Amino acid sequence: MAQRTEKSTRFWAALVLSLLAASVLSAALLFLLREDGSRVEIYRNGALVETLPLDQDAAYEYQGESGGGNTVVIQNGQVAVTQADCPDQVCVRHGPTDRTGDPIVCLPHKLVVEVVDGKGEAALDGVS
Amino acid sequence: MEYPNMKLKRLTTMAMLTAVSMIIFLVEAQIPLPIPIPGVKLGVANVITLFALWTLGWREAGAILLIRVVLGNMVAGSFSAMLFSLAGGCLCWVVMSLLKPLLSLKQTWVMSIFGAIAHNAGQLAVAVFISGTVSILVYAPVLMIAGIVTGFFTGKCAQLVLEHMKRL
Repeated sequence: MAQRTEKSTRFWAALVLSLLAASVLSAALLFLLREDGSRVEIYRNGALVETLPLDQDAAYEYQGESGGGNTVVIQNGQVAVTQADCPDQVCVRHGPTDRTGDPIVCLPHKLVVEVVDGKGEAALDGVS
Repeated sequence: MEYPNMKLKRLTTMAMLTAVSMIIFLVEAQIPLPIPIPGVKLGVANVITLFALWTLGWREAGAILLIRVVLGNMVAGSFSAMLFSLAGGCLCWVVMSLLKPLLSLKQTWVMSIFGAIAHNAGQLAVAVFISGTVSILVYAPVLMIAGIVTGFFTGKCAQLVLEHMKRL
């Protein structure tokens, strides 16, 4: 029994380590592939509702379905969600960004704020 | 040998395990993580699911998990967090139950890791569906890494408890 357990343990350990290595590599790659963007795309419920230039200061309020909402601010070449009424505040805690591949997401309000580069596509969003 | 009050014993054991996993869940809910998906947690409550899988069975473990997810999110989550928890929990339970016949007690950490990965995958899938964009998938590698690491530790933890129990 100990023999069989050892062999299969090695298999599982190898599998887990490969998955770990693959994810670390992907994470590093995704991080390194980030580049400076020029535009901000704002999606609500999966649909693109606004495209804004990153170099113009602006502030937008987005109403959530049941009242509340998010405030998206573009300032000094960066975009950030400065206030939200959702409980976890992940979007606000994300902080400002000016890079692609770094989406600011507020799932309770189905809001996604993404920086894209001049070519018209977020550098990594090959699906569209 | 069947004791006359075996069913009652199982039921109360399950109730206690559910209560413990709920407490773990509620405490964990207070820890903020940089992932924009409601309901993403460290997953320590999975120790209970693993324990139940080995000592009671996959159906019982599933029941405990279901009640914990529903009640836990009713108390300290939101309806949307419950949706994510259900999707993740369901996938986690299915994956771990399927892996169980392939693994020994000493390989509980493997079951836990894949359970954690499955849990994250379920939540990520719902997130993509709800947000309607694939942008959120950039979090996939990070979630995978976190799942493997936390899955390993929670699995080892459950394993320690189970191994010591066998000696009683």
